[in-house]
Amino acid sequence: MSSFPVLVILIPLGGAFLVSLVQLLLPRLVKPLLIAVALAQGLVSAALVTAVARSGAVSHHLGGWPAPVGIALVVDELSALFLAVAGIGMPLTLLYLTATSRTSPGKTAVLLCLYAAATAGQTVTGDLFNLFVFIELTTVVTIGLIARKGTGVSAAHAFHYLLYASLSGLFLLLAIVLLYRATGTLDLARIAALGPDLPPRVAALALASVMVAFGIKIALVPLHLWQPGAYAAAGSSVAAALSGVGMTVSTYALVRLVWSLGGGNDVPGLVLRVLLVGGCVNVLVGHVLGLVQRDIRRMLAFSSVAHAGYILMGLGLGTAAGLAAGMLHAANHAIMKMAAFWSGRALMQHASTPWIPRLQGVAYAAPGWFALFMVATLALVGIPPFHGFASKALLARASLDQGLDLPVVVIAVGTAISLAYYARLYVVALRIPRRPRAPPPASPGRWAAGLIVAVLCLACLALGFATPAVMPALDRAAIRAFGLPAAVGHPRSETTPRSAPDPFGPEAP
Amino acid sequence: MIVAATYAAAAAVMCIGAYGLLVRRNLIHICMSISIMETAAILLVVLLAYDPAGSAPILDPEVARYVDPLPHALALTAIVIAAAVTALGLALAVIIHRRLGTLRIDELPRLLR
Repeated sequence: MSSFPVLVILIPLGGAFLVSLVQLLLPRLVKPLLIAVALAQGLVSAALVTAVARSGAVSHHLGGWPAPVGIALVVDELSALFLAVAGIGMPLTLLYLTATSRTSPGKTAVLLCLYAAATAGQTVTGDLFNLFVFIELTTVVTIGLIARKGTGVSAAHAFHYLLYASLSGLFLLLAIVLLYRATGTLDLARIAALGPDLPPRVAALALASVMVAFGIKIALVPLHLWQPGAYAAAGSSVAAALSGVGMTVSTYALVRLVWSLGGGNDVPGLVLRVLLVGGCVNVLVGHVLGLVQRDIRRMLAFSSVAHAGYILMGLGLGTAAGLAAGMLHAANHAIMKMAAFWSGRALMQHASTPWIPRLQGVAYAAPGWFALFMVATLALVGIPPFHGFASKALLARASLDQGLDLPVVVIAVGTAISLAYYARLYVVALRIPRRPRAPPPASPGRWAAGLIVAVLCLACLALGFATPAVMPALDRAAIRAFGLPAAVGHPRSETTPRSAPDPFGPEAP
Repeated sequence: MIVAATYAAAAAVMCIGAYGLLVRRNLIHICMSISIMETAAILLVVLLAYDPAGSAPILDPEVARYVDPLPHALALTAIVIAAAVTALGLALAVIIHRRLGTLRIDELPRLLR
């Protein structure tokens, strides 16, 4: 079990290498190989996450070197949730790509394998150096994924992202320099232990750099400008991974660093306020701009901006309940956004256009896909019984517990606006077309793709009911992050403290 | 003295890069500006390990004081990443020039519409 944190990086990394090799030698074997890589990665990640949920953190010291010299890979309760998103979301993306690509999935499959390795690496690493490397690997792969169609437009969007991402990497490197100078270590557990003793100026500068670095990755307004174009250029099948997995994993890195530097219970108030206000702004800006989009992919991209806002709002509340609700929403968003992108892609294929006004009658041409799209988008809006409602309700409650009304108003307004833009799409899709639509070009792997999206939609529904069962684990993770005693914060947090030592937690709770 | 001068140099190089990034319109000049800014950050990383009295970090019973090898590894990694990102940026500039016929970043929004 202790080698599993290595495997979740090695399997997709080796897969990327093998896929590019097999593509040259035996192109027929590429698809089976991709399916094998996806299944192996998914199973190992699921086993690892279950083990962490059952018996606490799993860590692995590479080469058997202990802490001060060696490099640790750690999966604790906080990272387990995000590992679940990366380690199951990416295999699903690979399976979807394998199912829907007409011929060999080509270079996109290699890039997606690398993306799987980089995002899983971000969640399991216990070391700032490795975190930096995995983040930069993610950046480089993302640039490749945005430019994958090879057109001038996609290259321009990729360049746009490259500009933002290099600045993000630069700020992260500056934060690392500051932290290494102040603490003499890059081990995240040591930094978390030393965090409270950092000189305030160093902590503030490092936090500011971290906020800008991850604000770009998460698309914190006004650093979101790269995102809609990039998602549209990458295409829906890949944009689902960029939004569902990439953004979620960046959120994890932000939480990990901010909460380490903040040092347990007193994360500097200003950072929290930036997260809270920034989250509210993101929700409003994302939804309002989503309302005026005429391209499904751009509409879903702006919805990602808005949902990043909900997540950051939860983090910014500064309580364990808020953090737990934000994390739950991050995982929920990954599921529903992937389902929305992929079912939306099928609608676009049936209408042969991404333009919303030209989708008339697509609901009759593809009733199954339209139903799946409705489930995914209604979950995004936050209609009960889907799980989007559960996490939004928990967010609202966590904010009321803090005596804050404004975030609740923002959540309500955002929900109303998002319902408006999805309802507009439903109305167009349900309108009976004036002349019968030409039959769409046959799309390969319809049933397999439909099955994957249906599973995601079922998860939207099942998790809506399973939220009370999941919350204790998330609360535990959030309380760990804060180093708070149990029973503070979320009302449902009377949990027994874990017996296994927590490498990230404070020495003595 | 030398440390302070190097910090000043890093700050100056960073400002030069940032100025280029803000003022230049040519995609290749922008790639260069980013590269210059990254150089400044790498200079800061290298400074972390500056120790005139330290010897090479090789396990040797006679060596008592050695320079910290970790910033060097970090600097090497950052250099490799910066080179890769610059190469990608230049490759994208080539594609943009071939397909859209321009290298000016202020013409791109019009062409993308």
